[in-house]
This record gives sequence, structure tokens and C-alpha cells, in this order.
Amino acid sequence: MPNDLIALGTSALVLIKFPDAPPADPALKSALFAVDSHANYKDGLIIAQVDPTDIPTLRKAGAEVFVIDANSNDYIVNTTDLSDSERVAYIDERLARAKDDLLVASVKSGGGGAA
Amino acid sequence: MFGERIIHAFEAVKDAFDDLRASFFPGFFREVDFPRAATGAQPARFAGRHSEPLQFNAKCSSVPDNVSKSPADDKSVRRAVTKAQLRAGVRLQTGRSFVLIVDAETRTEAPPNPDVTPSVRASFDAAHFETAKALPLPPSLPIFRGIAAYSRQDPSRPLLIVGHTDAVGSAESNLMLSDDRAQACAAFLKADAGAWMRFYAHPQKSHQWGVREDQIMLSALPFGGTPYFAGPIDGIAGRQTDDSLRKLQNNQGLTANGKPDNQTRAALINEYMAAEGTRVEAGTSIQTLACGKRHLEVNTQSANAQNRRVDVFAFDTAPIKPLPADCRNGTHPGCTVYEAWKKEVKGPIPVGGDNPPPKAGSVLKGKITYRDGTPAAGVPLIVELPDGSKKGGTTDAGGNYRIEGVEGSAKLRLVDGLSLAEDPAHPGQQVVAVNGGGAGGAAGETGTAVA
Repeated sequence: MPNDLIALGTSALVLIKFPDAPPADPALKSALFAVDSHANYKDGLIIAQVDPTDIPTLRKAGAEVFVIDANSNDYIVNTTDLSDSERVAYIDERLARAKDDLLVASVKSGGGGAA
Repeated sequence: MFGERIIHAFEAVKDAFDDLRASFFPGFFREVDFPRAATGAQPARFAGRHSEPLQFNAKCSSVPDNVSKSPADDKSVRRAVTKAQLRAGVRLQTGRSFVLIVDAETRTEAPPNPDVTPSVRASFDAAHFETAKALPLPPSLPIFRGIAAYSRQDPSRPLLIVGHTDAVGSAESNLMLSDDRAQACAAFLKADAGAWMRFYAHPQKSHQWGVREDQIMLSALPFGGTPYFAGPIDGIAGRQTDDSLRKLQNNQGLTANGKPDNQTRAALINEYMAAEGTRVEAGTSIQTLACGKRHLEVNTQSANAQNRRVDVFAFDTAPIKPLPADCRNGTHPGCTVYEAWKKEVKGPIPVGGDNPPPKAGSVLKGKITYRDGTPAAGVPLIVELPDGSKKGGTTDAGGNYRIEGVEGSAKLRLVDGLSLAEDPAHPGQQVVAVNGGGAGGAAGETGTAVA
């Protein structure tokens, strides 16, 4: 029997790398423009806050998106007492994990498809 | 199926003869090149010098003259064959010749060399690559499967992948090509798609990957399904290639534009590298070594298929002795490192099987929606299996997911940290996994702004 689930989410803290060129589709383009960017990180990544439900659209628009904390409040709680270097280490560790997960998820084991 | 049974028969016969050797005349048999024979690359024949064929069908026929003078008479050999049949679980077919050529030359086993780490070895040959290219072709997958299976038994064994070319071409170009192939094989075993992406921008034009490599991979995928691409492998972009890329993109939740952009090629490589059972454990030591034309298998300056090869050594222990750097930095000709490794090879790495089809009934499938009922499209997800391995997928436009090869109690989670809870519209259905709280706990969360 299929497992029907609901995805829940709040405002996520992400690292995002925008595509070199904006997509032709106006809806995708506006999704990129609507991203609430906070600061530059490194390697072209920008710290931003997005609605988790927008992440697939941002990826479709050509952006690379790595979720650091699915709930921005969690990010604040987790990093409040950290020094700058510790905060960078925290983000780097989450970034590496997100990259690993995305790599696993991108390896097709069936992927999408009618259930 | 029959071929597999025959392979088992050969293995069992070899084992039985090994027993004979140990019992009666140590050193009688030369090391046999079993996998090469079993895969059909050569006839079922184990070559050796100063030899005569020893045939056995349902019974053995002749033995070499000098053997018949030894304690191993026909009766002993027949016993070995019977034992082999029992061990293989098959009868060696009457009327079908299984020819085993044995070396009648008695030799004394050399003691192990403490300065050389023993290993087992697998080899890719010229048929596993296209000229000047590093993409391991689909027929190489069973060899990768064998290497990965062997490595997973003890991931502490270091692997060394050594690329070779024949003597045609410049030393520089050959070194580069052999390095490319060794790197490509290492990347495949680690499922490192990024390493393969670099080949699309290779500085050497003749080594660069393009539409042709896309077509080769598209024609092999999806494993066990109807190939994305069924046209000629001609390296020419066209409608058939575009259509096949669209199929791949649709399957992977990408924008279906039929263009081989970086994202699409990464997805293509990922799917090719996902061939069942070809990945080594994370953390397995894999070194590569480019030898170009420095260590020819056949001493000829002409084009030679046997010289175009990639060796994979699985050493018993780390560190590898002698060090690969000794060969890399050594003087050629004159370097003895590679020959030393070869001399201490204990045997071949058994070749793995073809891509197994997904097991029936081992599919985890379902649908994910947002709270407002909108399908959660394009959401990457991971299923963690009881053995610690992971499988991945992405929901389609309708929010559906389908992960094959899932057995036992699996845990599903969304990559982007979204929580999962039971759908109240379908009460009683099992919650597969909940991120960040209990099944009901996360359900009430709403958007919260950062202070």
C-alpha cells in the first residue's frame, strides 16, 4: 500500500548558488529573484532564507541549493554560542552532508513515477 | 544461466585439481588464468607450456605422458572430476569438451617475497575502452562488480589501479591516456561523478568526452529497462539523442529540454555509476598509477590489444610494497616495481555478474504532498536500509516516489530536512519516517520567521 505523507516545513536556512544565466521561464526567473539573500558565504554560495517548498523550483531554475537547517530557528539555536570559526565549521559540515545526500538522491533507484 | 553453471563447474574443477596437486605433486600446475577463460574472452582452456590437453567430459580421457608416470593415475583424475561435479552441482555434459591444459613442467614454489605485498588482480582490456577514451564501456561492469564485491569483503585492502597503453603514440600522450583510464575506473568504483565530468572538458581534444560518450551511457540505461537511446553510437547530436536525454531528464526530475547540459550529464553519469554492486565501501583506499607504454605485456612497438589494459590490484594489506611512487618516479626502462607486484599475484579477482534485475516486491513507493494538498514535486529523498546503505530518488511532478531494491524496514527521509508525518486524510497508513519529532509532533509546525 502506498505511503501517503505530508511534507512539513518552515523557513529554511540555505546556501544557494545562482545559475550563470537566468532561466527563460518567467516563473522560474521570478523564483530566483524572490530569494531572501542574507550574506555571501564562499565559493559563490550565498546564505539565504527560503520557503522549503520553493527549493525544488529553485533547483529547477538552475540554482544549487543546500539546506543548512530546515528551520531557521534551529540554525540560530545551534549557532548562537559559537565563535565565527565554529560557525563556519558548522555550516561547512552541514554543507558537506547536504552535498552527500543530494548525490545519493540523484542516483536513480527508481526515482519518481506513478506509485 | 548455463554459462554461470559452467563457470562454477570450471571453478570446481580447478579446485579439485588443486587438491590433486597438493596431494600428489606440488608445483605441477601452473597458475591458471581462470576468469579470462570463464568469461569467454578465450576458449575454456588454461594455457601452459610443455603441455598436452587433459580432457574430461563425463569422464577424463588422457593425461600427459609424464603425468601418467606420476602417482596421479587416471583413477585419481576421475575422482577429481567426480568431486568437481559434486562441488559444482552440475554434471559436466557428455559430448562437451572441457579442455584443461596443464603444465607438465614441475617447478618449485618460490617462497613469498617479504618486500612485495601479495594481491589478487582484475584486468580491463582493450575491449573495455574506446580508442583514446577513458569511459569504461558497459561490458566492463561485471569486472567492476567483481572488484567491488571482493573489496567489500575487507575494505581495509588497498586497491591500486594501473593504466597501460600499447607502444603506439608519444610517451606523453600514452601516459595521459593511461592516467585517464585509471582515474576513470577509480571514480567509477567510488561513484565519483564529478571526476568524470572533467573528461567533458579534457584539455586533449582527442581524449575529450562528448555526445558519443552520452550515447554510450544512454544506450546502457536504465539498467534492466528499455534503453533511453537505441540509435547508432555515432557521436552526432540529433533528434534521437535529444529525445533520449529528455527521457533521462524526465526520469530524474530535471527540466526536459533534451540538452546535454552539466546537470543532465551529471545525472547521466550518476545513473551509469549506480550499476548494482559496483561501488566500494566509503573510505576504501584507491590509488592510481599511470604507466603508459612503460610496462608492455607483449614486447612489441606495434599496436597491440593486450598492451592496452588497466590492472586493478587488491593488495592483502597496507601499505603497498613496493610503493606505487617507486614506479611513478622510477627510471624506465629498468623499473621492476610493476613486475614485482605481478609476480606476487595470488590469483584473479572473480568477475561479477550482469546487472541483476530489481527484485520483485522490493519497491517502496508512495506520494508526498504539502499541507495544502499540493504535490511535493522534485523533492530529493533518501531511503536508509537496515544494512546501512542508502538509496535515493526524487519525487515526480505528482509528488510520487518509487525506490526499487528496498528490503526490510527502511527509513525514508527528505534530503532538505522537511519533516514527514502521516496524512490525516488517510488515517491508519504507516508513517515511514519522521524528521524532527514524533509522527504527530511535527505535523503542527508552521512557518516561523527568524528573529
